[in-house]
Amino acid sequence: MQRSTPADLDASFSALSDATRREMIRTLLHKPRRAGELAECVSMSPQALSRHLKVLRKAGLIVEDGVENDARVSVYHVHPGAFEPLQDWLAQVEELWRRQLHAFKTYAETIHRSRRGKP
Amino acid sequence: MDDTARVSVSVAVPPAVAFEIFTRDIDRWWRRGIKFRHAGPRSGFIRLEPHVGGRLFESVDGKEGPCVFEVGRVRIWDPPHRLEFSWRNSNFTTGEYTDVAVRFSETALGTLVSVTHRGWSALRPDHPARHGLEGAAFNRMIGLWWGEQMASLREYSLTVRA
Repeated sequence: MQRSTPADLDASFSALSDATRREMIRTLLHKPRRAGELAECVSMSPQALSRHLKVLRKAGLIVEDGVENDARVSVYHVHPGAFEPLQDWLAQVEELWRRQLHAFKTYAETIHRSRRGKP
Repeated sequence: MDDTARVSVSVAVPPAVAFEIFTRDIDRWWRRGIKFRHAGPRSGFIRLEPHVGGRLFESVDGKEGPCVFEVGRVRIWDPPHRLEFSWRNSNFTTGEYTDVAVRFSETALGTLVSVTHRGWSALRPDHPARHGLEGAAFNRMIGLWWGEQMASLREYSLTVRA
């Protein structure tokens, strides 16, 4: 899997540092929407929304798709790879616990064997 | 997928022994080094007090005597089946914590020890501490925020794949 570069992460973090943009992502996670629908959902003018859309798009968090049979209307959805930072974080937590449990197993089995070996 | 880390290991000892070693002997098996202990290269010990409300803490030897860092408190003490405790990373602010649950299930070969570590999404992404956070801490915050979204995200990714 291709990992995020520091520049990608900076862009993602910067884009998500804004509460409105987080709300937009939250909304788009439920289902892809047109810009107009999204503006209604987050109670914002289309002009203001378009600035936020641009930031999210440039950060690679959302993508814009044309609608079949209507080239004038675009639908926005969350980029499937956008949640990699969380997956990376959970993977780190799991790796730490995996190493701890391995150490636990080694210690427990050794101690148990030595206790049972005693007369 | 949600905001829970899950790891398990099969151990060739009975549950009662596994539970006792996991708790009473925690300092003997808990890994050392900067990744796993506040002590890092310094000496010290880690201890789990064996009752509900008991502390999981680390004592680190410093120049001016030992320094105690409380990782969390025991919430469920149910030997030899279950153990649950709260968990704070060193960069958490007061009142912030996550939850660790450990289950000891009897198997034909001994015990299956399963750890789940959840609650990463419980911390507010707009916490004041967030401003000025450096790399790793900020990464964590963002991770937490994504944690909130995972339920929606799971449905979403199924839709995308369909």
